[in-house]
Amino acid sequence: MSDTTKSLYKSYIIEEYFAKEKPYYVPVGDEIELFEAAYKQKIPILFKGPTGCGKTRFVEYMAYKLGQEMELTGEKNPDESKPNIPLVTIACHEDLTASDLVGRYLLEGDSTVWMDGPLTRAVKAGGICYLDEVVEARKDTTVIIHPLTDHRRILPVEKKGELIEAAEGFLLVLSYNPGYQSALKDLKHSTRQRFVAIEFDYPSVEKEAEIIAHESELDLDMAFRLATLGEKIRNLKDHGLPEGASTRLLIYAAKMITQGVKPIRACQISVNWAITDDPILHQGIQEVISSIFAE
Amino acid sequence: MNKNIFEKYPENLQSEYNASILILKNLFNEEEINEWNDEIKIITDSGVRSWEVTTDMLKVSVSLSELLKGIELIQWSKMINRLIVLSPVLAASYIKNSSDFLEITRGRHIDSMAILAEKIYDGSWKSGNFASKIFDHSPKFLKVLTFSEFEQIIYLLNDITKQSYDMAVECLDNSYNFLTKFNSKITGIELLTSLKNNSSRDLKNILENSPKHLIKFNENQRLELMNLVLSIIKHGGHSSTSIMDELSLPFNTINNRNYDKILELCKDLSRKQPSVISGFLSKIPEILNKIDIKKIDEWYDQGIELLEINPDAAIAYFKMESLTSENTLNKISSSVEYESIKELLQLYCSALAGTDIEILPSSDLVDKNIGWSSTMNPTTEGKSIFVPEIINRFDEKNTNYKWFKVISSHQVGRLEFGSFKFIFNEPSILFDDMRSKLYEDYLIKHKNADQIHFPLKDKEESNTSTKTDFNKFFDLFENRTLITDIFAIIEDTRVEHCIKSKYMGLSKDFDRVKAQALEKRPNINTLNSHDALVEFLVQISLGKNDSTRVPKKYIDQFKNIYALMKMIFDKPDSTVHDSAEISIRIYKMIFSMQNENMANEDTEELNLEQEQEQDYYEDDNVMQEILQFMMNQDSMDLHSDSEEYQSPAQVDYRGDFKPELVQLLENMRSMDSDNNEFSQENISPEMLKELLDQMENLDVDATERPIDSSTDMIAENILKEISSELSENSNHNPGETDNDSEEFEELQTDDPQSYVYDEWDFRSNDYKPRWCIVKERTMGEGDRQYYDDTLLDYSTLVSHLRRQFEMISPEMLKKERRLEDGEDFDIDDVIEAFVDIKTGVSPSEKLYWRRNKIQRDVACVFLLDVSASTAESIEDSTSNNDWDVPDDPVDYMKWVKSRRKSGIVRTYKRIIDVEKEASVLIMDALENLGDKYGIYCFSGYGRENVEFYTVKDLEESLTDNIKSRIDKISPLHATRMGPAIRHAISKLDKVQARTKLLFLISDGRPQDRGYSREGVEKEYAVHDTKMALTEAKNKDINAFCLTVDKNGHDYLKAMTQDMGYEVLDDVRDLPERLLDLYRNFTM
Repeated sequence: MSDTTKSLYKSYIIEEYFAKEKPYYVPVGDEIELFEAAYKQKIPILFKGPTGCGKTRFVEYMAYKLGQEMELTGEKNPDESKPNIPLVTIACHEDLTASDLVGRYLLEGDSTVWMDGPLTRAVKAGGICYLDEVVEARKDTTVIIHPLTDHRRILPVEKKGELIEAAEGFLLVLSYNPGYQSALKDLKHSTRQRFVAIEFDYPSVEKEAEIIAHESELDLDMAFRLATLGEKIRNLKDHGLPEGASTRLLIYAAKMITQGVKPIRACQISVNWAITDDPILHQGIQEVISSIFAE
Repeated sequence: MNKNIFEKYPENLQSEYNASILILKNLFNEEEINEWNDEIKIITDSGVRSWEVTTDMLKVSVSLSELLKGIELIQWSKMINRLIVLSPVLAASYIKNSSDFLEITRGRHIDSMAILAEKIYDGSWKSGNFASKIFDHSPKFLKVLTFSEFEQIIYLLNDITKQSYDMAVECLDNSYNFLTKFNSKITGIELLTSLKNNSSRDLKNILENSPKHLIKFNENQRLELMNLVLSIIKHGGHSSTSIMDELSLPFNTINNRNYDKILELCKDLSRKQPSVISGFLSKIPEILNKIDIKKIDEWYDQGIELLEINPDAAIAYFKMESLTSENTLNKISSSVEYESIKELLQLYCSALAGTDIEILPSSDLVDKNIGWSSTMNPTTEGKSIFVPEIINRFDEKNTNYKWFKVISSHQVGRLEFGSFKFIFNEPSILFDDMRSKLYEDYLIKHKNADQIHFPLKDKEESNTSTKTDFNKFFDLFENRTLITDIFAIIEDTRVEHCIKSKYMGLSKDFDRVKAQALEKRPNINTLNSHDALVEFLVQISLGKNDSTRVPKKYIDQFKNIYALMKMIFDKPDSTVHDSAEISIRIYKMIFSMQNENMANEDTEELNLEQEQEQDYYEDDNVMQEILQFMMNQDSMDLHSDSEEYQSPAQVDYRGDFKPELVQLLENMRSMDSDNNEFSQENISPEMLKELLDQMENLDVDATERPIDSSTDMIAENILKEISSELSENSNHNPGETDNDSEEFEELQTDDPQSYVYDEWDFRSNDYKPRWCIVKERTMGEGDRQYYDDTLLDYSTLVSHLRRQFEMISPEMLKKERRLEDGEDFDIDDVIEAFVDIKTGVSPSEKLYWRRNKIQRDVACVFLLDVSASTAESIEDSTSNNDWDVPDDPVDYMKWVKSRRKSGIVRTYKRIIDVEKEASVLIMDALENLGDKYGIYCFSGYGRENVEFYTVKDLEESLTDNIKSRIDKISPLHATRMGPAIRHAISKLDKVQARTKLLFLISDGRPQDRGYSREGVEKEYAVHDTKMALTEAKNKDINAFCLTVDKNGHDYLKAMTQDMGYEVLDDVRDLPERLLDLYRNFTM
């Protein structure tokens, strides 16, 4: 890589990307303790929960927190630029294949070279491998994680004829959104039963207000109203709304408000339009918005 | 004069004569007496029984003697003479009515009256009857008319006698009433004349009906109305027998202030398009329900504009048979209807409450008769919110809508902020709780009382299971009305403050509504002291905060009440329990004083703003005092000479608040859902009734029943309601949520399901709203053997088709090569690439392969026309022609029957048989393919009866039952394609699929009784079908028409436009061609 390109952007090797500061996370329940316990016992974890409720943020937070703790106990060398344990996040999609995860041969000149996939890298580096929205991946793909999730903790690399033993700190974390529960998009039982499941839900109004206020630097009263809106919209889940308004959306709205957008409008564009295209539903939510926020 | 004149006649004639002559002789001179006697003699001798006439005449002559001079009397007798020659009856009638009419005419027209009758009389019995009727009616007519006017009318009616004497007589009877409705008789007669000239046949009906209708109008309006009648009759083409009813009945439901305006519009319309007037009038009440009379011009002008462009459209417009018309009305209308915002409010309220809230019209709740009776008030029974059906309080639509929002927010507030979550022992936030202490006291007191009467029975224990917490609370108070009123006000105030602090955006709307309500409140100082304090509470709750004058005597109470109320204002997280505690304290303040008239008390200024600073203060002493008071509240003789307490006027937007009843219902619901079966052991009707009897402010249905049985009724209804709710839950069927809970009992699963659709009217270029009813039924089951036999008959075709369809059946995973990225290298491509490199050619980069998932996602509906014409043999289907469909429904049914009969003895193959075979093959082929498909048949007669038979529903999987349904497909009635297509669209719309197809298989053009506008235009049906197909296209449904009608090209081209159609040359090709097409469409 030439110097000029280097100065324009930062690129990291996947397992060497670390948070600069402690990620902000407000626990909803006992998930931190559960995660720590499971991590210590090397039990893979499955996150269940609606979109935008903080699953990804939580895993980042835990990677950081565990990293800090390991530095204290001396299991990990203190390093300013690498405060957390490695975290490899893979967004799963329909076409994700096993070789996308494990690695493949690439052509280079006259020969082929082996290129590790992200999963392999995480296994080698002893980090947390986070497979986001794992139901999106094809069932035949998810099977390759099986040997990693039981007592064996190995990753077979078929093409090379290798078995890679997972490093000490390795942990597989899956997230999955039961919102899309259809026969097609469900985890195989043989897969599911290899994990402990931590359930996530939207935080309470008070906590959510706190989160919104922190993330957007909006005043607490307004944040509280946004959180109330979130709560009210989630009430409509059985009325044709596939997913409630996520905390993330509320934070977007809050950020728009801090930029001087009128609250009603901000909620309309960042919450209402984001969650529904149905005109009646939209109107109904807009009524809730106009009730909560004064013009 | 000697005695023997009358000797051959009965004696009383002579005595009558003697009596009369005594009086009459004063009038006559000698000569005249002789003349008189002569006349009498002639009369008496003129016929066998003429002496009777003479007797009458002599009797009457005595009374006439006061009116007439001698000479006139003789003239009179001469007239009688003339008449008796014609008919004794006529003469008798003349005599009978003489004194009456001569009194009115003061002696004039003795002769002209008789001559009038003479002219009318033509010797027949009937004309005699008519003529004598003239005499009968003459007195009352002459009271209001001049003689010449009377004559005019008689001649007018005489013309009618040419048609029928009976009719003329009836007209005569009725015309008096008619004429008296007009001050100017000339106008009345003119009207009568023109009515007669234009439609003498209907005159009778009009005259008969008009008096009762005209009575509601004033003079001018009557005239206008009659002119309308005239212009409609003149225009013709109208069955005018009921025209008076048609025109006037709508006015019964119109406020008479609006009569002028409406009549003006009708008058205007009568100049342009008289035929729509009655249709227009009949819709006026509906229109005025939606818009104010001031705005009707706007709607009307639109119609007139339309009239210039397209008269047909305008006619539909004025009759409210077009969507444009409805839409215009809705646009103009400022009122907001429950129906139009139901869905929206439902979402809104469900969001706020966090549970499924149903919004229903208040009348629904009243119909249930479980304790609510006002159809106009918003309220809730804990599960649903009830709102008025229409709000038109304000001129602005938006303001009306805001009102809806405010009232429903208030009701949801009660649910959201826990008004009904009252638990007796739950502590409040703001106070030291007194409830439990009060209850202990109450128990002690009542135990003592009970032990005196029923020493062994502990009444309290037996009741606790059914008693609600609210019951328990309100039982503590002597004056139940007072405490429930106080509690309602406080609780509503609390709810509103919670709403205000949580929903900032609503507070402006609430403030406005409150201010409006405050304006309507009565003056405190005119009320009795109890009422005044409660009223004061209401007013503070509505936001009163300026200074007000209150009776000096009770200023401390006012101040204290204000201080107590203020506690909720300041504390947004207060609960229903705080409301209860405040209620206790306020109750004590109010009830501890006399309820006396304060009209003469001195008043003092109470400045509420200054009172802001004053806080309510309470210490042990105060509490002890309250407890003491409550213990003794009934034994006090304080109220011996008090006035009865009167509840304050209701605050309309808050509606009814019945916490006891709601809690009772909720308890019963939860009790039942635990048991999952409604059991009478839990709560018997008697226990329920006892509870209900205790409740104040229970609205019993306003019938004449004694109160006791009313609560019985309510108890019964509540039990019914709860058990029906319960069974609804257990039978809950996600597909049929639209079943109304009240109709639950009547609805059975095998009930026909009906759907309503609009129909396109190409003339007026608009939809006719809710025009057709599609009745969906499942096809009955026939012989399953048919299915198998057909497959056997077509075995070659079947196996051919199967092969073809297997070919399109996609492999679930297909290897795709030559990709830039993929699962892995394709070894062949890599080798090739290396070869390329070695030979110096730049290699292809597409070396990868991957497996791709291809999913078929097709939903298809086959719509079979099973009209009567499909019974035609396929051999002569060329001559198939049903242009001669009779339009009259009776003829039509006969025609259909005769056609069907001819089908019974057939040996030939009919079109329907081919359709059936096609269905079998479709099922067989598509089942292998795994696509979603539905097969439906449609037919019908008339727009109310579009039959839609399900052979196989889209979501149904193929079972033997379905296979046997095919056998039952048989030719039915007519072909109303539009609604059938629309129904099929709605079915396809509900399923999810990437490709949606609609095959329409028919044997001719669409036609049905009344499937054309005003008769015979065939295009109407074609245009409606075309519109239905366009609707399909707009919903991303590919429609395709397949017909066996060789003449199909002309209309199919118009009907389908750019969509596909095909005319089959040979019907027998249908199955194969259909599947061919299907394959091509879905590949």
